[in-house]
Amino acid sequence: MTPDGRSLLRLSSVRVFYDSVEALKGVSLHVNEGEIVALVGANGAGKSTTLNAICGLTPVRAGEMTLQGQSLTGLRPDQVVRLGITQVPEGRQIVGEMTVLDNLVLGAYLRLRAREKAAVREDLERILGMFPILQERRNQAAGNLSGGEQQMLAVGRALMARPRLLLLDEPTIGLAPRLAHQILDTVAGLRAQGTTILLVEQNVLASLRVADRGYVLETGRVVLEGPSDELLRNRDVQRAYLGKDYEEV
Amino acid sequence: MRGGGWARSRILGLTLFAAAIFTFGLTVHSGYLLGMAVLIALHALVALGLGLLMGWAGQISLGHAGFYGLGAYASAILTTRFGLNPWLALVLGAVGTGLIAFAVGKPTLRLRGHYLAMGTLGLGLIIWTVFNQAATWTEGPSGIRDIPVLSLGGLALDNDQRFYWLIWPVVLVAVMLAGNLINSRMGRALRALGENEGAAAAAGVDVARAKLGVFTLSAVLASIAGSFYAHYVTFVNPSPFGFALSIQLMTMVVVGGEMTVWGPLVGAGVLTVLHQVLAISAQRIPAMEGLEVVAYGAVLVIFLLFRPQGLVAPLRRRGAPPRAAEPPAPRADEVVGEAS
Repeated sequence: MTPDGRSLLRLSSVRVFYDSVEALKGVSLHVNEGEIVALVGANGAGKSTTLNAICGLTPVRAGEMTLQGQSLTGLRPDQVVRLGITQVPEGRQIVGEMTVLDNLVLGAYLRLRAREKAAVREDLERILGMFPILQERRNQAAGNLSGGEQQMLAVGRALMARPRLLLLDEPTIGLAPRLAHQILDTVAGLRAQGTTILLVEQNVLASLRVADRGYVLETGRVVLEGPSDELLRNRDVQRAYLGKDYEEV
Repeated sequence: MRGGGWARSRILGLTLFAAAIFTFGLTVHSGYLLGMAVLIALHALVALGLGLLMGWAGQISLGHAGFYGLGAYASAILTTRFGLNPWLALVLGAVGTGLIAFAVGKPTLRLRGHYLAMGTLGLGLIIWTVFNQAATWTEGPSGIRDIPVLSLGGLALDNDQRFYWLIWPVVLVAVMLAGNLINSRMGRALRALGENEGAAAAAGVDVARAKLGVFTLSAVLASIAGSFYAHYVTFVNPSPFGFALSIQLMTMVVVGGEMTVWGPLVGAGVLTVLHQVLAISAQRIPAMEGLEVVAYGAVLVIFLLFRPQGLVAPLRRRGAPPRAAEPPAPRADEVVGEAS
Protein backbone atom coordinates (compact mmCIF):
# COMPACT_ATOMS: atom_id res chain seq x y z
CA MET A 1 0.00 0.00 0.00
CA THR A 2 1.41 3.37 -0.91
CA PRO A 3 1.16 6.27 1.47
CA ASP A 4 -1.35 8.85 0.36
CA GLY A 5 -1.53 12.57 1.02
CA ARG A 6 -3.13 12.15 4.42
CA SER A 7 -0.23 10.19 5.77
CA LEU A 8 0.68 11.53 9.22
CA LEU A 9 3.65 9.38 10.16
CA ARG A 10 6.02 7.88 7.66
CA LEU A 11 9.04 5.64 8.19
CA SER A 12 11.19 4.74 5.23
CA SER A 13 13.93 2.12 5.40
CA VAL A 14 14.63 2.71 9.08
CA ARG A 15 17.56 0.73 10.40
CA VAL A 16 18.44 0.37 14.06
CA PHE A 17 21.39 -1.43 15.58
CA TYR A 18 21.97 -2.64 19.12
CA ASP A 19 25.75 -2.66 19.05
CA SER A 20 26.45 -4.78 15.98
CA VAL A 21 23.10 -6.56 15.97
CA GLU A 22 20.72 -5.15 13.42
CA ALA A 23 17.34 -4.92 15.15
CA LEU A 24 15.47 -3.12 12.37
CA LYS A 25 16.55 -4.00 8.85
CA GLY A 26 14.94 -1.24 6.86
CA VAL A 27 11.41 -0.84 8.16
CA SER A 28 9.03 1.24 6.09
CA LEU A 29 5.52 2.02 7.18
CA HIS A 30 3.04 4.85 7.33
CA VAL A 31 0.08 5.87 9.41
CA ASN A 32 -2.67 7.99 7.95
CA GLU A 33 -4.60 10.61 9.86
CA GLY A 34 -7.46 9.04 11.81
CA GLU A 35 -6.31 5.44 11.39
CA ILE A 36 -5.49 2.70 13.82
CA VAL A 37 -2.51 0.80 12.51
CA ALA A 38 -1.37 -2.39 14.21
CA LEU A 39 2.23 -3.51 14.31
CA VAL A 40 2.20 -7.22 15.09
CA GLY A 41 4.74 -9.97 15.34
CA ALA A 42 6.44 -12.31 17.74
CA ASN A 43 8.68 -11.38 20.62
CA GLY A 44 11.90 -9.85 19.34
CA ALA A 45 10.54 -9.02 15.90
CA GLY A 46 11.34 -5.34 16.41
CA LYS A 47 7.94 -3.92 17.30
CA SER A 48 8.99 -2.06 20.42
CA THR A 49 12.25 -1.06 18.79
CA THR A 50 10.24 0.61 16.04
CA LEU A 51 8.22 2.59 18.57
CA ASN A 52 11.32 3.52 20.56
CA ALA A 53 13.00 4.74 17.38
CA ILE A 54 10.00 6.96 16.61
CA CYS A 55 10.05 8.33 20.16
CA GLY A 56 13.73 9.17 20.08
CA LEU A 57 14.58 6.60 22.75
CA THR A 58 16.66 4.49 20.38
CA PRO A 59 19.03 6.05 17.86
CA VAL A 60 18.38 5.37 14.19
CA ARG A 61 21.38 4.57 12.02
CA ALA A 62 19.79 4.95 8.60
CA GLY A 63 16.47 5.85 7.04
CA GLU A 64 13.97 8.63 7.46
CA MET A 65 11.12 9.23 9.89
CA THR A 66 8.72 12.10 9.39
CA LEU A 67 5.61 13.46 11.03
CA GLN A 68 3.67 15.37 8.38
CA GLY A 69 6.86 15.92 6.48
CA GLN A 70 8.80 17.10 9.51
CA SER A 71 11.84 14.95 10.30
CA LEU A 72 11.89 13.08 13.60
CA THR A 73 15.35 11.64 13.17
CA GLY A 74 17.76 12.55 15.94
CA LEU A 75 15.23 14.31 18.16
CA ARG A 76 15.19 13.86 21.94
CA PRO A 77 12.15 12.13 23.50
CA ASP A 78 10.74 15.37 24.87
CA GLN A 79 11.11 17.06 21.48
CA VAL A 80 9.17 14.24 19.85
CA VAL A 81 6.42 14.68 22.43
CA ARG A 82 6.40 18.37 21.62
CA LEU A 83 5.74 17.59 17.97
CA GLY A 84 2.61 15.68 18.98
CA ILE A 85 3.63 12.04 19.34
CA THR A 86 2.90 10.50 22.71
CA GLN A 87 3.82 6.99 23.68
CA VAL A 88 2.17 4.76 26.21
CA PRO A 89 5.33 2.87 27.06
CA GLU A 90 5.46 -0.85 27.60
CA GLY A 91 4.95 -1.70 31.24
CA ARG A 92 2.77 1.39 31.69
CA GLN A 93 5.35 3.56 33.43
CA ILE A 94 2.97 5.30 35.73
CA VAL A 95 4.33 7.12 38.77
CA GLY A 96 3.23 4.87 41.61
CA GLU A 97 3.70 7.36 44.42
CA MET A 98 1.71 10.12 42.78
CA THR A 99 -2.06 10.22 42.81
CA VAL A 100 -4.07 9.18 39.79
CA LEU A 101 -4.98 12.80 39.26
CA ASP A 102 -1.37 13.98 39.38
CA ASN A 103 -0.36 11.27 36.92
CA LEU A 104 -2.99 12.48 34.51
CA VAL A 105 -2.02 16.13 34.87
CA LEU A 106 1.62 15.15 34.35
CA GLY A 107 0.58 14.08 30.86
CA ALA A 108 -0.33 17.68 30.09
CA TYR A 109 3.10 18.91 31.16
CA LEU A 110 3.91 20.67 27.90
CA ARG A 111 0.41 22.05 27.45
CA LEU A 112 0.46 23.57 30.93
CA ARG A 113 3.73 25.22 30.08
CA ALA A 114 1.96 26.70 27.11
CA ARG A 115 -0.68 27.94 29.58
CA GLU A 116 -3.56 25.97 28.10
CA LYS A 117 -5.02 25.64 31.57
CA ALA A 118 -8.69 25.79 30.65
CA ALA A 119 -8.38 23.24 27.87
CA VAL A 120 -6.38 20.92 30.12
CA ARG A 121 -9.07 21.11 32.77
CA GLU A 122 -11.67 20.24 30.17
CA ASP A 123 -9.68 17.26 28.93
CA LEU A 124 -9.14 16.07 32.48
CA GLU A 125 -12.90 15.98 33.05
CA ARG A 126 -13.44 14.27 29.71
CA ILE A 127 -10.84 11.58 30.37
CA LEU A 128 -12.11 10.97 33.90
CA GLY A 129 -15.53 10.56 32.31
CA MET A 130 -14.10 8.06 29.85
CA PHE A 131 -12.54 5.95 32.61
CA PRO A 132 -14.99 5.86 35.53
CA ILE A 133 -12.60 3.76 37.59
CA LEU A 134 -9.99 6.52 37.43
CA GLN A 135 -12.59 9.05 38.46
CA GLU A 136 -13.46 6.88 41.43
CA ARG A 137 -9.87 6.40 42.53
CA ARG A 138 -8.44 9.71 41.45
CA ASN A 139 -6.98 10.59 44.85
CA GLN A 140 -5.33 7.26 45.45
CA ALA A 141 -1.69 6.55 44.79
CA ALA A 142 -1.43 5.19 41.27
CA GLY A 143 0.67 2.29 42.55
CA ASN A 144 -2.41 0.96 44.33
CA LEU A 145 -4.35 0.47 41.11
CA SER A 146 -4.68 -2.94 39.53
CA GLY A 147 -2.79 -3.77 36.35
CA GLY A 148 -5.72 -2.99 34.08
CA GLU A 149 -6.46 0.25 35.87
CA GLN A 150 -2.83 1.30 35.59
CA GLN A 151 -2.99 0.64 31.86
CA MET A 152 -6.06 2.84 31.59
CA LEU A 153 -4.23 5.50 33.57
CA ALA A 154 -1.27 5.29 31.20
CA VAL A 155 -3.59 5.70 28.22
CA GLY A 156 -5.41 8.53 29.95
CA ARG A 157 -2.15 10.29 30.72
CA ALA A 158 -1.05 10.02 27.11
CA LEU A 159 -4.37 11.49 25.97
CA MET A 160 -3.85 14.46 28.30
CA ALA A 161 -1.10 15.55 25.93
CA ARG A 162 -3.70 15.73 23.13
CA PRO A 163 -1.38 13.85 20.82
CA ARG A 164 -1.70 13.93 17.05
CA LEU A 165 -0.39 10.39 17.11
CA LEU A 166 -0.70 7.96 19.99
CA LEU A 167 1.76 5.10 20.22
CA LEU A 168 0.60 2.14 22.28
CA ASP A 169 3.21 -0.43 23.25
CA GLU A 170 1.64 -3.75 24.26
CA PRO A 171 -1.29 -2.23 26.12
CA THR A 172 -2.81 -5.62 26.93
CA ILE A 173 0.33 -7.39 28.11
CA GLY A 174 -0.17 -9.25 31.35
CA LEU A 175 -3.87 -8.47 31.52
CA ALA A 176 -6.71 -10.94 31.90
CA PRO A 177 -8.54 -11.48 28.59
CA ARG A 178 -11.60 -9.57 29.74
CA LEU A 179 -9.49 -6.55 30.69
CA ALA A 180 -7.50 -6.84 27.48
CA HIS A 181 -10.72 -6.57 25.52
CA GLN A 182 -11.80 -3.61 27.56
CA ILE A 183 -8.54 -1.83 26.77
CA LEU A 184 -8.82 -2.57 23.07
CA ASP A 185 -12.44 -1.39 23.09
CA THR A 186 -11.16 1.84 24.56
CA VAL A 187 -8.62 2.07 21.77
CA ALA A 188 -11.36 1.59 19.20
CA GLY A 189 -13.36 4.28 20.96
CA LEU A 190 -10.45 6.72 20.68
CA ARG A 191 -10.43 6.38 16.92
CA ALA A 192 -14.06 7.36 16.89
CA GLN A 193 -12.95 10.59 18.58
CA GLY A 194 -10.39 11.19 15.85
CA THR A 195 -7.18 10.03 17.53
CA THR A 196 -4.62 8.43 15.25
CA ILE A 197 -3.03 5.35 16.78
CA LEU A 198 -0.08 3.10 16.11
CA LEU A 199 -0.64 -0.04 18.15
CA VAL A 200 2.02 -2.61 18.94
CA GLU A 201 0.67 -5.95 20.06
CA GLN A 202 1.64 -9.55 20.50
CA ASN A 203 -2.04 -10.36 20.61
CA VAL A 204 -2.36 -10.48 16.83
CA LEU A 205 -5.98 -11.47 16.52
CA ALA A 206 -7.34 -8.95 19.00
CA SER A 207 -5.27 -6.05 17.72
CA LEU A 208 -6.08 -6.66 14.06
CA ARG A 209 -9.75 -6.63 15.01
CA VAL A 210 -9.58 -3.04 16.20
CA ALA A 211 -7.06 -1.82 13.61
CA ASP A 212 -7.74 -0.55 10.09
CA ARG A 213 -4.47 -1.79 8.72
CA GLY A 214 -1.61 -3.85 9.96
CA TYR A 215 2.06 -4.60 9.44
CA VAL A 216 3.56 -7.96 10.35
CA LEU A 217 7.15 -7.73 11.55
CA GLU A 218 9.56 -10.63 11.55
CA THR A 219 13.17 -10.35 12.71
CA GLY A 220 13.36 -6.64 11.98
CA ARG A 221 11.54 -6.64 8.65
CA VAL A 222 8.01 -5.95 7.48
CA VAL A 223 6.98 -9.25 5.92
CA LEU A 224 3.31 -8.53 5.35
CA GLU A 225 1.08 -5.50 5.27
CA GLY A 226 -2.44 -4.67 4.38
CA PRO A 227 -5.95 -3.99 5.62
CA SER A 228 -6.68 -5.83 8.85
CA ASP A 229 -9.41 -8.07 7.44
CA GLU A 230 -7.07 -9.22 4.68
CA LEU A 231 -4.34 -9.99 7.17
CA LEU A 232 -6.78 -11.86 9.35
CA ARG A 233 -7.75 -14.04 6.37
CA ASN A 234 -4.13 -14.55 5.37
CA ARG A 235 -3.15 -18.17 5.89
CA ASP A 236 0.42 -17.36 6.90
CA VAL A 237 -0.83 -15.06 9.58
CA GLN A 238 -3.33 -17.64 10.73
CA ARG A 239 -0.72 -20.34 10.83
CA ALA A 240 1.84 -18.19 12.60
CA TYR A 241 -0.77 -17.00 15.03
CA LEU A 242 -2.03 -20.50 15.78
CA GLY A 243 1.50 -21.85 15.97
CA LYS A 244 2.42 -19.23 18.48
CA ASP A 245 -0.68 -20.15 20.37
CA TYR A 246 0.45 -23.74 20.69
CA GLU A 247 3.84 -22.71 21.94
CA GLU A 248 2.31 -20.52 24.54
CA VAL A 249 -0.04 -23.19 25.88
CA MET B 1 -1.07 31.90 46.07
CA ARG B 2 -2.29 30.91 42.69
CA GLY B 3 -5.54 29.20 41.93
CA GLY B 4 -6.33 28.26 45.52
CA GLY B 5 -3.62 25.63 45.29
CA TRP B 6 -2.75 25.73 48.97
CA ALA B 7 -3.84 22.60 50.69
CA ARG B 8 -5.11 23.05 54.22
CA SER B 9 -2.37 20.82 55.57
CA ARG B 10 0.27 23.08 54.07
CA ILE B 11 -1.16 26.23 55.57
CA LEU B 12 -1.43 24.46 58.90
CA GLY B 13 2.17 23.24 58.69
CA LEU B 14 3.54 26.67 57.85
CA THR B 15 1.47 28.32 60.57
CA LEU B 16 2.70 25.88 63.20
CA PHE B 17 6.25 26.39 61.97
CA ALA B 18 5.96 30.17 62.20
CA ALA B 19 4.46 29.82 65.68
CA ALA B 20 7.36 27.61 66.77
CA ILE B 21 9.85 30.17 65.46
CA PHE B 22 8.13 32.93 67.41
CA THR B 23 7.76 30.92 70.60
CA PHE B 24 11.40 29.84 70.64
CA GLY B 25 12.64 33.32 69.77
CA LEU B 26 10.55 35.02 72.46
CA THR B 27 11.14 32.58 75.29
CA VAL B 28 14.73 31.49 74.82
CA HIS B 29 17.40 33.99 75.78
CA SER B 30 20.40 31.74 76.12
CA GLY B 31 23.03 32.78 73.63
CA TYR B 32 24.19 29.20 73.34
CA LEU B 33 20.75 27.86 72.40
CA LEU B 34 20.06 30.75 70.02
CA GLY B 35 23.42 30.16 68.38
CA MET B 36 22.58 26.51 67.98
CA ALA B 37 19.23 27.48 66.48
CA VAL B 38 21.02 29.72 63.97
CA LEU B 39 23.34 26.88 63.03
CA ILE B 40 20.37 24.56 62.55
CA ALA B 41 18.74 27.16 60.31
CA LEU B 42 21.87 27.48 58.16
CA HIS B 43 22.10 23.72 57.78
CA ALA B 44 18.38 23.51 57.14
CA LEU B 45 18.69 25.90 54.19
CA VAL B 46 21.36 23.73 52.59
CA ALA B 47 19.54 20.49 53.43
CA LEU B 48 16.31 21.85 51.96
CA GLY B 49 17.94 22.31 48.56
CA LEU B 50 19.77 19.02 48.82
CA GLY B 51 16.47 17.34 49.73
CA LEU B 52 14.88 18.66 46.55
CA LEU B 53 17.76 17.21 44.58
CA MET B 54 17.83 13.84 46.35
CA GLY B 55 14.14 13.28 46.88
CA TRP B 56 12.64 14.84 43.81
CA ALA B 57 15.28 14.53 41.14
CA GLY B 58 16.75 11.26 42.45
CA GLN B 59 20.33 12.55 42.41
CA ILE B 60 23.00 12.74 45.07
CA SER B 61 25.51 15.53 45.59
CA LEU B 62 28.63 14.96 47.64
CA GLY B 63 29.83 18.52 47.20
CA HIS B 64 27.26 20.70 48.90
CA ALA B 65 29.69 21.69 51.63
CA GLY B 66 31.73 23.17 48.78
CA PHE B 67 28.81 25.28 47.55
CA TYR B 68 28.15 26.37 51.14
CA GLY B 69 31.81 27.33 51.38
CA LEU B 70 31.75 29.17 48.07
CA GLY B 71 28.96 31.39 49.37
CA ALA B 72 30.83 31.99 52.62
CA TYR B 73 34.13 32.82 50.92
CA ALA B 74 32.48 34.95 48.23
CA SER B 75 30.87 37.05 50.92
CA ALA B 76 34.05 37.17 52.99
CA ILE B 77 36.29 38.23 50.11
CA LEU B 78 33.87 40.61 48.42
CA THR B 79 33.10 42.48 51.65
CA THR B 80 36.57 42.58 53.25
CA ARG B 81 38.63 43.19 50.12
CA PHE B 82 36.31 45.15 47.92
CA GLY B 83 34.10 46.71 50.54
CA LEU B 84 30.96 45.52 48.84
CA ASN B 85 27.62 45.70 50.59
CA PRO B 86 27.08 42.30 52.30
CA TRP B 87 23.69 41.82 50.64
CA LEU B 88 25.17 42.46 47.22
CA ALA B 89 28.02 40.04 48.03
CA LEU B 90 25.43 37.42 48.97
CA VAL B 91 23.70 37.80 45.63
CA LEU B 92 26.96 37.75 43.64
CA GLY B 93 28.12 34.67 45.54
CA ALA B 94 24.85 32.90 44.79
CA VAL B 95 25.05 33.75 41.08
CA GLY B 96 28.67 32.60 40.83
CA THR B 97 27.99 29.37 42.69
CA GLY B 98 24.96 28.75 40.51
CA LEU B 99 27.10 29.11 37.39
CA ILE B 100 29.71 26.69 38.71
CA ALA B 101 27.04 24.15 39.62
CA PHE B 102 25.50 24.55 36.19
CA ALA B 103 28.86 23.95 34.50
CA VAL B 104 29.48 20.78 36.51
CA GLY B 105 25.91 19.52 36.28
CA LYS B 106 25.44 20.01 32.57
CA PRO B 107 27.75 17.25 31.34
CA THR B 108 27.23 14.87 34.27
CA LEU B 109 23.42 15.00 34.37
CA ARG B 110 23.15 14.04 30.70
CA LEU B 111 24.42 10.62 31.75
CA ARG B 112 22.33 8.10 33.60
CA GLY B 113 23.49 6.91 36.98
CA HIS B 114 25.29 8.64 39.77
CA TYR B 115 27.76 10.65 37.77
CA LEU B 116 26.67 13.81 39.52
CA ALA B 117 27.75 12.28 42.84
CA MET B 118 31.21 11.62 41.38
CA GLY B 119 31.42 15.05 39.80
CA THR B 120 30.39 16.87 42.95
CA LEU B 121 32.69 14.75 45.09
CA GLY B 122 35.60 15.96 42.95
CA LEU B 123 34.33 19.51 42.86
CA GLY B 124 33.95 19.64 46.65
CA LEU B 125 37.53 18.51 47.11
CA ILE B 126 38.80 21.02 44.57
CA ILE B 127 36.94 23.86 46.26
CA TRP B 128 38.31 22.83 49.65
CA THR B 129 41.83 22.67 48.27
CA VAL B 130 41.48 26.10 46.72
CA PHE B 131 40.32 27.54 50.06
CA ASN B 132 43.49 26.14 51.61
CA GLN B 133 45.98 26.90 48.87
CA ALA B 134 44.90 30.15 47.22
CA ALA B 135 46.22 32.06 50.19
CA THR B 136 46.48 35.38 48.30
CA TRP B 137 42.69 35.48 48.29
CA THR B 138 41.61 33.14 51.06
CA GLU B 139 44.41 33.59 53.62
CA GLY B 140 44.80 29.81 53.48
CA PRO B 141 44.09 27.71 56.58
CA SER B 142 44.22 30.70 58.91
CA GLY B 143 41.11 32.12 57.26
CA ILE B 144 39.54 35.53 56.75
CA ARG B 145 38.72 37.66 59.79
CA ASP B 146 36.61 40.71 60.47
CA ILE B 147 33.85 40.02 58.03
CA PRO B 148 31.23 42.73 58.54
CA VAL B 149 27.88 41.75 60.02
CA LEU B 150 24.68 42.08 58.06
CA SER B 151 22.40 44.95 58.82
CA LEU B 152 18.75 45.31 58.13
CA GLY B 153 17.16 48.73 58.01
CA GLY B 154 20.05 50.26 59.93
CA LEU B 155 20.00 47.55 62.61
CA ALA B 156 23.25 45.62 62.80
CA LEU B 157 22.56 41.91 63.21
CA ASP B 158 25.49 41.51 65.54
CA ASN B 159 24.22 39.06 68.14
CA ASP B 160 22.65 35.62 68.19
CA GLN B 161 19.19 36.91 68.96
CA ARG B 162 19.08 39.42 66.13
CA PHE B 163 20.47 36.92 63.67
CA TYR B 164 17.92 34.37 64.82
CA TRP B 165 15.12 36.75 63.82
CA LEU B 166 16.64 37.13 60.37
CA ILE B 167 17.55 33.56 59.55
CA TRP B 168 14.48 31.67 60.69
CA PRO B 169 12.04 33.80 58.69
CA VAL B 170 14.38 33.19 55.74
CA VAL B 171 14.03 29.44 56.33
CA LEU B 172 10.26 29.85 56.57
CA VAL B 173 10.18 31.63 53.21
CA ALA B 174 12.48 29.00 51.67
CA VAL B 175 10.21 26.21 52.91
CA MET B 176 7.24 28.04 51.47
CA LEU B 177 8.92 28.48 48.09
CA ALA B 178 10.09 24.86 48.03
CA GLY B 179 6.52 23.79 48.73
CA ASN B 180 5.33 25.96 45.87
CA LEU B 181 7.88 24.38 43.57
CA ILE B 182 6.86 20.87 44.54
CA ASN B 183 3.19 21.63 43.92
CA SER B 184 3.84 23.23 40.55
CA ARG B 185 3.90 21.74 37.10
CA MET B 186 7.68 21.54 37.40
CA GLY B 187 7.45 19.82 40.77
CA ARG B 188 5.12 17.21 39.39
CA ALA B 189 7.62 16.58 36.63
CA LEU B 190 10.45 16.27 39.16
CA ARG B 191 8.50 13.94 41.37
CA ALA B 192 7.78 11.80 38.34
CA LEU B 193 11.36 11.68 37.16
CA GLY B 194 12.68 10.90 40.62
CA GLU B 195 10.56 7.79 40.71
CA ASN B 196 10.19 6.86 37.07
CA GLU B 197 12.22 8.58 34.37
CA GLY B 198 10.38 6.73 31.64
CA ALA B 199 7.07 8.18 32.74
CA ALA B 200 8.48 11.69 32.89
CA ALA B 201 10.07 11.43 29.47
CA ALA B 202 6.85 10.02 28.00
CA ALA B 203 5.07 13.13 29.26
CA GLY B 204 7.53 15.35 27.42
CA VAL B 205 9.72 16.34 30.36
CA ASP B 206 13.27 17.18 29.35
CA VAL B 207 14.73 15.00 32.06
CA ALA B 208 18.30 16.26 31.94
CA ARG B 209 17.26 19.90 32.01
CA ALA B 210 14.89 19.43 34.92
CA LYS B 211 17.61 17.73 36.97
CA LEU B 212 20.08 20.44 36.08
CA GLY B 213 17.60 23.06 37.23
CA VAL B 214 17.10 21.49 40.66
CA PHE B 215 20.80 20.89 41.12
CA THR B 216 21.62 24.51 40.31
CA LEU B 217 18.86 25.72 42.60
CA SER B 218 20.15 23.57 45.46
CA ALA B 219 23.67 24.92 44.97
CA VAL B 220 22.35 28.49 45.03
CA LEU B 221 20.51 27.81 48.29
CA ALA B 222 23.69 26.36 49.78
CA SER B 223 25.64 29.44 48.69
CA ILE B 224 23.10 31.79 50.26
CA ALA B 225 23.30 29.83 53.51
CA GLY B 226 27.10 30.07 53.31
CA SER B 227 26.95 33.84 52.93
CA PHE B 228 24.72 34.07 55.99
CA TYR B 229 27.21 31.88 57.85
CA ALA B 230 30.11 34.19 56.97
CA HIS B 231 28.28 37.28 58.21
CA TYR B 232 27.06 35.51 61.33
CA VAL B 233 30.38 34.07 62.46
CA THR B 234 32.36 36.99 60.89
CA PHE B 235 35.21 34.59 60.26
CA VAL B 236 35.74 31.84 57.71
CA ASN B 237 38.43 29.22 57.32
CA PRO B 238 38.41 26.07 55.19
CA SER B 239 37.84 23.49 57.92
CA PRO B 240 34.03 23.57 58.19
CA PHE B 241 33.57 23.15 54.43
CA GLY B 242 35.22 19.78 53.92
CA PHE B 243 33.90 16.42 52.82
CA ALA B 244 32.68 15.62 56.35
CA LEU B 245 30.08 18.39 56.13
CA SER B 246 28.88 17.13 52.74
CA ILE B 247 28.26 13.74 54.33
CA GLN B 248 26.63 15.37 57.31
CA LEU B 249 24.28 17.33 55.03
CA MET B 250 23.37 14.21 53.11
CA THR B 251 22.72 12.41 56.39
CA MET B 252 20.38 15.23 57.43
CA VAL B 253 18.29 14.68 54.33
CA VAL B 254 18.21 10.90 54.77
CA VAL B 255 17.40 11.08 58.49
CA GLY B 256 14.72 13.71 58.10
CA GLY B 257 13.19 12.24 54.97
CA GLU B 258 13.59 13.54 51.46
CA MET B 259 10.02 13.41 50.21
CA THR B 260 8.64 16.36 52.15
CA VAL B 261 9.98 19.86 52.68
CA TRP B 262 9.88 19.27 56.45
CA GLY B 263 12.18 16.26 56.39
CA PRO B 264 15.47 18.09 55.73
CA LEU B 265 14.49 20.64 58.37
CA VAL B 266 14.02 17.97 61.02
CA GLY B 267 17.18 16.23 59.85
CA ALA B 268 19.16 19.47 60.17
CA GLY B 269 17.89 19.83 63.73
CA VAL B 270 18.66 16.26 64.77
CA LEU B 271 22.11 16.11 63.19
CA THR B 272 23.22 19.56 64.35
CA VAL B 273 22.26 18.71 67.94
CA LEU B 274 23.95 15.31 67.63
CA HIS B 275 27.06 17.05 66.36
CA GLN B 276 27.12 19.36 69.39
CA VAL B 277 26.54 16.51 71.83
CA LEU B 278 29.36 14.52 70.31
CA ALA B 279 31.67 17.53 70.28
CA ILE B 280 31.01 18.20 73.97
CA SER B 281 31.50 14.55 74.90
CA ALA B 282 34.75 14.53 72.99
CA GLN B 283 35.95 17.48 75.10
CA ARG B 284 35.06 15.75 78.36
CA ILE B 285 35.96 12.16 77.48
CA PRO B 286 39.15 11.99 75.41
CA ALA B 287 38.28 8.48 74.22
CA MET B 288 35.31 9.93 72.30
CA GLU B 289 37.63 11.93 70.08
CA GLY B 290 37.02 11.23 66.41
CA LEU B 291 34.00 9.11 67.12
CA GLU B 292 31.84 11.69 65.39
CA VAL B 293 32.48 10.41 61.91
CA VAL B 294 31.69 6.88 63.02
CA ALA B 295 28.44 8.12 64.52
CA TYR B 296 27.32 9.77 61.25
CA GLY B 297 28.13 6.64 59.32
CA ALA B 298 26.18 4.54 61.80
CA VAL B 299 23.18 6.90 61.71
CA LEU B 300 23.20 6.91 57.92
CA VAL B 301 23.34 3.12 57.67
CA ILE B 302 20.72 2.57 60.36
CA PHE B 303 18.28 4.90 58.62
CA LEU B 304 18.89 3.51 55.16
CA LEU B 305 18.27 0.00 56.51
CA PHE B 306 15.38 0.53 58.88
CA ARG B 307 13.67 3.76 57.97
CA PRO B 308 14.67 4.75 54.43
CA GLN B 309 11.75 7.17 54.20
CA GLY B 310 13.21 9.23 57.07
CA LEU B 311 11.59 10.62 60.20
CA VAL B 312 9.07 12.71 58.28
CA ALA B 313 7.37 10.53 55.70
CA PRO B 314 4.75 11.65 53.21
CA LEU B 315 1.26 10.36 53.77
CA ARG B 316 0.98 8.19 50.71
CA ARG B 317 3.37 5.41 50.03
CA ARG B 318 3.55 2.87 47.30
CA GLY B 319 2.10 -0.46 48.32
CA ALA B 320 0.20 1.01 51.21
CA PRO B 321 -3.36 -0.29 51.19
CA PRO B 322 -5.96 2.21 50.05
CA ARG B 323 -7.01 4.07 53.10
CA ALA B 324 -10.60 3.69 54.15
CA ALA B 325 -11.15 7.36 54.78
CA GLU B 326 -9.72 9.40 51.93
CA PRO B 327 -9.22 13.07 52.67
CA PRO B 328 -11.77 15.32 51.03
CA ALA B 329 -11.06 15.08 47.34
CA PRO B 330 -9.69 18.17 45.64
CA ARG B 331 -11.64 18.89 42.51
CA ALA B 332 -9.94 18.44 39.19
CA ASP B 333 -9.78 22.19 38.59
CA GLU B 334 -7.95 22.70 41.85
CA VAL B 335 -5.21 20.35 40.79
CA VAL B 336 -4.80 21.98 37.41
CA GLY B 337 -4.99 25.33 39.12
CA GLU B 338 -1.82 24.55 41.02
CA ALA B 339 -0.04 23.65 37.91
CA SER B 340 0.66 26.96 36.22
